[in-house]
Amino acid sequence: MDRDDMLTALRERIVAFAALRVSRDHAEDLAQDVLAVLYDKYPHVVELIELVPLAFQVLRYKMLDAHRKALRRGEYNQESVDDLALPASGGSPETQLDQKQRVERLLAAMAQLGERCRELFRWKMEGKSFPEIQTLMGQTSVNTIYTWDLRCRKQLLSLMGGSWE
Amino acid sequence: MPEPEHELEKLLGGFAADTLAPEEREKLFRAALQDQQLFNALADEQALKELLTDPAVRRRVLQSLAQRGTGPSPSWRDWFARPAGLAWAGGLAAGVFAVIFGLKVYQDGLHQAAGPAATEEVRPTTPSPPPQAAPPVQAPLKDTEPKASKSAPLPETAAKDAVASASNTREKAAASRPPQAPHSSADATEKRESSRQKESQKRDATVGTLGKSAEQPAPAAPTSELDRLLLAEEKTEQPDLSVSARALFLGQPPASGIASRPQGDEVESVPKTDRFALAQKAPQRQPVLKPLALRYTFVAGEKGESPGPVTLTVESNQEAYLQIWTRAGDALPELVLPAKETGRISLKTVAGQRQEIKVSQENDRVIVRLSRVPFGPITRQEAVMAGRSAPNQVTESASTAQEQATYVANPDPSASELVIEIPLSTYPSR
Repeated sequence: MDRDDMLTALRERIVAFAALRVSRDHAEDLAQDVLAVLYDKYPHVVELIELVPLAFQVLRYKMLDAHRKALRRGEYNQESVDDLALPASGGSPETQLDQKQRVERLLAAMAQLGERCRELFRWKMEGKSFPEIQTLMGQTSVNTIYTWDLRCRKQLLSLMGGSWE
Repeated sequence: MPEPEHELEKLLGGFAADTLAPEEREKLFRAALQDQQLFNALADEQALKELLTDPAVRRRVLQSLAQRGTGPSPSWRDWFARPAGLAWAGGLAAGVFAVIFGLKVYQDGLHQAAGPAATEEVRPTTPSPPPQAAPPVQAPLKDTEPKASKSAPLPETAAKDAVASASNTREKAAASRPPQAPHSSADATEKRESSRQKESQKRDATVGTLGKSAEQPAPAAPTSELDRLLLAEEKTEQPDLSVSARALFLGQPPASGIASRPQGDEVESVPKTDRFALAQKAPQRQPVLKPLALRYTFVAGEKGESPGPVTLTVESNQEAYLQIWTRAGDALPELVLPAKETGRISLKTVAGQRQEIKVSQENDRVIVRLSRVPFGPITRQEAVMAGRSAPNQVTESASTAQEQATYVANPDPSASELVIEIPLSTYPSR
């Protein structure tokens, strides 16, 4: 699978994913924007294991941008442009506050997890792979670790209110 | 070959933490390009991945995970979340329930087994239904005695056979008791009858000493045990007219056997009857009540004066509650003691305390009620019904140089109320 095939497949998946959150037209525009960035700014990224995560990252930024633009344009609440502050060049205070709140929610949710889930996440945060975690947790099958990880992530997601955002 | 969905879902966990091996990553991303659901899941995980990519956030998360969980006993909840834990809890609950249920069934069985035995012990003390012919009656009664238990079975019902067999079983169980203990309830009945006869003889003697109602002929000696039982029952139902109301009021030994026997005699009689039957214990433990009695006198105005109020003096023989009503003609009774002003309906009085009240002669009747317990509120219509005397009350007028009073008593110590209706037209005047 060459790069063009990967981008074609990516476009199709991005449109379908974005269409679940915004209108179809907006989803087409979002996919076009993501592909434009990948074409223009990252032409050297050709490997699948690099291109796909890059596409996810660009897609997330583009969606956040679209959200901010809609907010700025008053699509959610009609406000005068004169009342809105000019965006800063770096991370906006809203972005910083949003990230801080997300981190707080994540920490609070993790504190409510069981001991096994906490141990599993701790190994993951330390960069251990699943086979290494299997050995560290004394399990004979890596599938056990996969199953535990799946349940723990579901529990964590539930504790965070059903979304990582 | 496409990977099974659950295998790829497992790899999803390593995406956000960035702990996947290169082969796993390629497998996951290649599948994501083909599978929209997996792509959506990865795109959603991107937010968490981005968060965890920040070294500062990662460090804080690690610190948080290193600390102990703050959730409410997570290990306990984890234990219950496991199927094995649930199975243990369910099994334990079922076991506890089975033990409790088994104990209840066992106790019910014990109660059922004890029920017929209790019935047996009471049965010989109660009089049997009147027989059709006199001669066959004595034979079954004698057959119930354990001495004759080896003889032919009773010609009654199968239930009596069961009673007899159960009685034998009880005798065997009671073999370890002291030898002076009676061996059957039939013996107990015999002894009770003999003691009753003795008490009856004593009572007759007491009546003789009092010199009142001694003319009544003593009942003929019972010819059989059944006759004695029936006679004893009749005695308890009919009022004993040989009782002196004055003696009851003054607390002297009454003529009636059931009346206020001195406490010492009662205590002494306990060991005698205690050996006979367990069923006799309960009634004898009850405190012996003093029969209710009162004394009243009338004092009218001086002779020659116009009819004025009459002074009624009432005195009870024990601590009790008093009510005095007056009634004129067919009018409804009116409560005069306690007075309306007091707001009470019962006047508590003690032994020897005299209560005086003036009664207008416009009334033709006075109703005196004496009760062991405070009176409840009643209407005046109900007071008409409540003002009727009990049939077994005894009245005695004493007119001596020292006193001129009337004594009223109820010889039955179980009676809780004494009611006297006094016509004012017949009151004695000084």
